[in-house]
Amino acid sequence: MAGERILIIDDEPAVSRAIRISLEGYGFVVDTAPTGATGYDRALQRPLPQVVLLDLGLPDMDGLDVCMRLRTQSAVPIIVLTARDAEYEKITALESGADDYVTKPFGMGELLARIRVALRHAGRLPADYNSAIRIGELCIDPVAHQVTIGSRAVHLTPTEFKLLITLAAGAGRVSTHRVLLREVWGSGYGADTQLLRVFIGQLRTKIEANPAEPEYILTEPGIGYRFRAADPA
Amino acid sequence: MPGRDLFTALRQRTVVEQPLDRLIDEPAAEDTLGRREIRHYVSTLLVLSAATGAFWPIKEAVGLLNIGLVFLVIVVGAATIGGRRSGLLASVVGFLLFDYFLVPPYLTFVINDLHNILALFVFLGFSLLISSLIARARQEAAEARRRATDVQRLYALGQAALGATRREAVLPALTAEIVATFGATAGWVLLPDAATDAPLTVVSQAPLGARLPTTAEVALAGQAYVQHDLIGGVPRRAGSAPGRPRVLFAPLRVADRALGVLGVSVSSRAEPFSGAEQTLLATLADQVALALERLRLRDEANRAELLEQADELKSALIHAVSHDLRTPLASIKATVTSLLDSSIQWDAATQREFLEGVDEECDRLTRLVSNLLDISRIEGGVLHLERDWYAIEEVINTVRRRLAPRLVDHPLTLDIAPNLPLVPLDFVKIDQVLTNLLENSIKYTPPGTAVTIRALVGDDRLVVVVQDSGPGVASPHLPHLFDKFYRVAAPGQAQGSGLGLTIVRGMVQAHGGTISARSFLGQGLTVTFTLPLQWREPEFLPGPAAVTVPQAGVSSNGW
Repeated sequence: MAGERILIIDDEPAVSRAIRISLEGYGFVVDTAPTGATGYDRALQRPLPQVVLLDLGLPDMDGLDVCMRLRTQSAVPIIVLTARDAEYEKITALESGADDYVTKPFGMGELLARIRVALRHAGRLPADYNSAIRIGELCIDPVAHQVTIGSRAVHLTPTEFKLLITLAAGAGRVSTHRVLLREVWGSGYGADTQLLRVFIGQLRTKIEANPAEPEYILTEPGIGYRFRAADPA
Repeated sequence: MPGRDLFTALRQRTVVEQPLDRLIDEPAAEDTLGRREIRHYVSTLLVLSAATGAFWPIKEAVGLLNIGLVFLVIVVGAATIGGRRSGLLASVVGFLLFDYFLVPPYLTFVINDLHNILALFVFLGFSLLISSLIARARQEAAEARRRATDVQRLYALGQAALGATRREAVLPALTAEIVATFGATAGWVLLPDAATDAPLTVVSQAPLGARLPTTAEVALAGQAYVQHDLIGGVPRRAGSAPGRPRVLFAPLRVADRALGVLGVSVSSRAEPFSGAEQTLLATLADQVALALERLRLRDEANRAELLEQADELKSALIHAVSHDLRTPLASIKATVTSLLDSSIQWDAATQREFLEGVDEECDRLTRLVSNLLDISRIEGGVLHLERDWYAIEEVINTVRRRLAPRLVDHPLTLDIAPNLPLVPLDFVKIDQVLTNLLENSIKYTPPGTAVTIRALVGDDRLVVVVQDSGPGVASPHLPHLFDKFYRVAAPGQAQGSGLGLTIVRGMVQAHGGTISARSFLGQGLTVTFTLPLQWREPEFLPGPAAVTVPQAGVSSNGW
């Protein structure tokens, strides 16, 4: 997986330097941009980056703006770097096209894992979603509408199945409450997080060994849910 | 309660009987007829006598009917000018004079002719009727005039109350207005004093030099306050029915609360308060109460606004500080977790690069923390100065030596006037002032930019100028340069905490000095600070409110 190009858009030289040195150590090629404007330009130039790390607190423009504008031009995975207490910012970022987020200060292990998930998703074609998804013991067959854990078949209602497949399709990434509600129930349910919570609870009792300590459907407090990342191939 | 035994609490618009000399320090006056009224009676009698005298020689020729008409005219005149009592007097006296002198047989009240008797009594009845009609019309006209005046007073008072911005200003004005309205000798506003726990104290009195209410009157005011009712005081005369009051207290009511009491007193010789006047006072009291309530609400709104501003400032502070603390932590965390990853073998050069980064970020955190401490000391007014007599050159050289490694790319020129006097200063603080200013120049100008420090004496002060030839600061930023957390966004540049220059200003001002900044875009930034040459105790330690920033960009007489 070495050699992928990563663009860091961050105005703090110390932070981008620390990330750059680390990522280079892990075999990535790293570019840095200190402003939103230069970052936006750089992200669309060849050689194109495979992943963009975007700090939301930029001096020249709103990081969310960069995110949205970039999304209109490119499908490159965007991981935003943000503060712990900025749930709203995270949700807005995810809904304006970011693929994931990392909360500052973060360990390199966490950042690397997110970058790998992003790269894997970027490499997969939409058609692939018709093939079975295997994550740990769990196997989802979207065509046959069948779910098994190990050898045990799990019976799901159509809505539960739709919710599970939506979560699993973004495995490793966060899906916000609103996005899940919209995808599974339709656009009229955008604010009904209670409904979502009930169905997540039902899904967990059916697929988790211990629903109180879920392995597959992880809660991102205040933001949404993250389905466990597929094991690296 | 003193004086309570003197009063009986009565309902609104009833009156407490009370010996006047106990209530008001003036002798009780006889209930005399008004002087003007007496004048009216006398003139009525004179005119009637004159008419009788005039008609006496020609009474036969003129005839009873004409004489009667002339007398009627006199009655109408008396009633119109003098009122009901003059009219009555004119009717009765006119009737008697007419009968005695002008109706035959003369010089006797006896009348023989039935016609004459009838004529006389028609005259009497008619003149009584006319004088009472005229008197009523007069009274109604007077009432209408009084109402019009009341409305004007109320309007004026309302205007004054609405325009008021301070309680201290509005109460005396309103009290004076009310005293004028009633022609009173004294008017007071009494409010409860939260501080001394006294029930009511006089906060405003009018006119200038008016007497204060007596203890008994304050007790009456207390009654009005507690009962939310108009209370009056009146002289007690043996056997008389409750009379009309000469001192009145009206509660200042807002909704169901009384804010205080409005009191007026008229001289014992003047007319006591009529029912209409009592109603008027109650209405005026409501106006005053509204004015007070409006001021209170406005004060409350102001306080709320201040709190809100303080809150905004606080959240701005938290936002700025959390960002500044998080950023170095973010790079330290990223670096250290990389180093800890056993799956990778970092070469020595990379390890060194990592560690240098961590070292710098630790320094940055340390600087931020000590800056925050300095700021809180400056703002809390507890910045302690350890002053002694120093040569400024000594401080400048110390700073230069310490910053030498970082000054490699920013050639520093010193221009220090010869024979500078020693200056009383806190070495460490002024060291930090110069350090912060130099670091600013190093941080915000490109490598190779020259920096100059000049020191000279001007205007009885030591003047120190730190000047760079960098890009300068755009004029909109200049006035805010010393503001807390103010940063001039410069893409790609190192970001400061926005505290450095605020600390510089605080420390210079703690010394009794001044600081200002000038810049022309493209021609560098010049920061000038001064220190007093004499050892003076600083009058104040600058707090956030006490700090006055010299208008940056405008140089006052050169420095």
